[in-house]
Amino acid sequence: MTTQYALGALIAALVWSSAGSAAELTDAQARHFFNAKGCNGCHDVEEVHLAPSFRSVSSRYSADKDGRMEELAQKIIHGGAGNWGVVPMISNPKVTLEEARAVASWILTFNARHPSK
Amino acid sequence: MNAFNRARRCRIIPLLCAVAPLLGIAPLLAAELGGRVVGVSDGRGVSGAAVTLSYVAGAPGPSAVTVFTDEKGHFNFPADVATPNAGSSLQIMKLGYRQVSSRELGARQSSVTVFVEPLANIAATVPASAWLARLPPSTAKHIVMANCADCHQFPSPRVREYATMIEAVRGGPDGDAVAREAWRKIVRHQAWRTVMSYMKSKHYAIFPDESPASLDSVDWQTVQNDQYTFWNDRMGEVIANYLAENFPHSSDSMLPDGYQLGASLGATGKTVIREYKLPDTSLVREAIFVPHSRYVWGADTYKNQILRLDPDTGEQKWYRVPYQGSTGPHTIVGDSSGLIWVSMVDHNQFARFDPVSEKWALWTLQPKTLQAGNSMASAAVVHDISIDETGQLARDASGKIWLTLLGTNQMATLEPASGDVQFYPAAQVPGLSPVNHMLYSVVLSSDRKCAWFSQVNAGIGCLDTATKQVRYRTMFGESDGPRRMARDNTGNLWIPMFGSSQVTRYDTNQHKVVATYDLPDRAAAPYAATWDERRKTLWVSGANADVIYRLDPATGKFTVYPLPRAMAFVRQIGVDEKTGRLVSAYGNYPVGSGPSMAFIMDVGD
Repeated sequence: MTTQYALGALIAALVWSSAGSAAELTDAQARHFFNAKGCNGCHDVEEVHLAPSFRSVSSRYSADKDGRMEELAQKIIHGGAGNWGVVPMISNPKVTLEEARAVASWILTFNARHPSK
Repeated sequence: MNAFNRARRCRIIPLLCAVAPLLGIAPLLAAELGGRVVGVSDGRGVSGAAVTLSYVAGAPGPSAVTVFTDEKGHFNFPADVATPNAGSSLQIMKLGYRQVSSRELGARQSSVTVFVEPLANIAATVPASAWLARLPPSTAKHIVMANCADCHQFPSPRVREYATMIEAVRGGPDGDAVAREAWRKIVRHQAWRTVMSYMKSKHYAIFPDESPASLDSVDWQTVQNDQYTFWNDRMGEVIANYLAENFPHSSDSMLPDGYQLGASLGATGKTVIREYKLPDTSLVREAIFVPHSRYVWGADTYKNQILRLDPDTGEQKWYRVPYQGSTGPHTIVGDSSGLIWVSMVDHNQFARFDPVSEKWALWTLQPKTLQAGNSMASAAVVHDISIDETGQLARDASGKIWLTLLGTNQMATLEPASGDVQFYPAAQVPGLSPVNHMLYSVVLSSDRKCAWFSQVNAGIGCLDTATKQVRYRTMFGESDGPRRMARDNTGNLWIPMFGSSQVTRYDTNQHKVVATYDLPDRAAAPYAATWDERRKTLWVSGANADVIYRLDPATGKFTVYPLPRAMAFVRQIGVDEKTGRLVSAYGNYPVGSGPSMAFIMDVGD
């Protein structure tokens, strides 16, 4: 089974089991996703590369994670600019809504799971 | 229907052919499909339209067959094309036209009239090249072409979408129009600069599935180090500036006269293109015919395997490279005995495959200069294989095969029997790192004394197969982009200029360029030239324009063969030495970014 199929099947299974709510990815699964979909071409977990770190995104939005999750999922799929400077983020049309929600949830809960030292 | 075609059909559906005579009926397959493409407003036939019959997934044979209308708009599918099945569709493609009648086709339908109408806005029908062809000519444009259309069509729909997103950015100074435009220029520059940095990351998409070389295993400084990317930072800045200043802010509309094919149509009512759907998870970028084999053979860069495709039934058989790890088969050529040779981008591998015994032989070509690790710095990227005038494998006088190593700007020799491997530097250009040169193809001269090589970001030269020294160095304009070359039997080296969209003829006897031919579309990005000894003509892939060009050396004139598929990033074209058919595949990097298909074209001449 290929990397992308394995990841897709995993997320599908998690979404199914969670009956509508976003799947909960482990750190390893999230990292796998970032590499498979090329997110790590711009984003890092801790460092600012070409785009904000996932910790930065988590810091800004985690206080309203339920309210922000759908917005972030849509941003992952459709891209856009305005919240982190003037350079637009590319769209990712091959990321499904379920995948995007799972990743958005992982990002929004990152700081809670990994507090800054 | 002649006996040969009937036999081909009966290989596809043997039971049907067996029972049909017993029932006293002609085979269902005998119904031949034809018809006419007509303008809906004037009722006149439309010439030169591509008519594509697509079958439902899983049907035997090709996935789609395309023919072209004659001067009166008539078309006919050849007798050996299977009758449409339930779910088949008929699609018309002609630049500047839209199909207005249904694409659905009834089962066993034999005649159809399809209506089309001219478009006031042709934006949705033009290839990627149409957007670049309108931009001002300059060296910077050649750098854009040579390095952005390098792995995929440019500007692809996603690139155009991104340009629109840049213009949609809100903010900046209010009120003052001059200040606002100045701010917007800064936004454009910064956005395209960021894209160029992102594309450094995307270099890792050349590595196949299962490869340890990935962004997850390389530190960011190495990822962004321009010593390990196809272009350096200076070129990246030139590209960002050119796009910021010239790229259209919207690609929603184009007037009917905004783009033309630029040459007479070569495709006729006898031209037939058969396309074969391949798995979306595969990236077959090259496909060839091999002597003594009735199959098409392809290299699947992503899935670490090669393809055997039966052109009659569409059956696909895959052979994984027997290496403990990823390999990334890239370039595939046959030899006169029917053996298949494959270079690979990962783990420095080179292979030979015997289609009869289905056995592999592998060699490792690993220069000592390579760094350890999983980055571009650790990859030799075994790229092209020495070929002769037929496009088949060629050896020098001592029996050695010559190969280009894109990652290290070196030539390698391999003596297959002994396994002896040697490395030699290709020509160096100050200011370019080894991989910046983009050492690409290698063609062996007829006297086997010169291994002619091309460097996309530099020029061409001969590596003397006896002295191992570079001779007859010829530089072109920056990023004119000499790419995958061919030679004929009279001493001409045919050089597709990927960046300037020209073809250059270099006389290897006089050691000089003797002619340059502008492609009909100056943003077509000719990836490869193929000499066709049978027709005494040159085939050129218009990788960025969804076309194949044919150059008549006697007249210097091009004709054009439109391909029935958007994002048809055609690279190497193979010619069947027995039938004259052409073969190729669509090869956008990364996997999944374009159609996954191989195709065979009956030229119809």
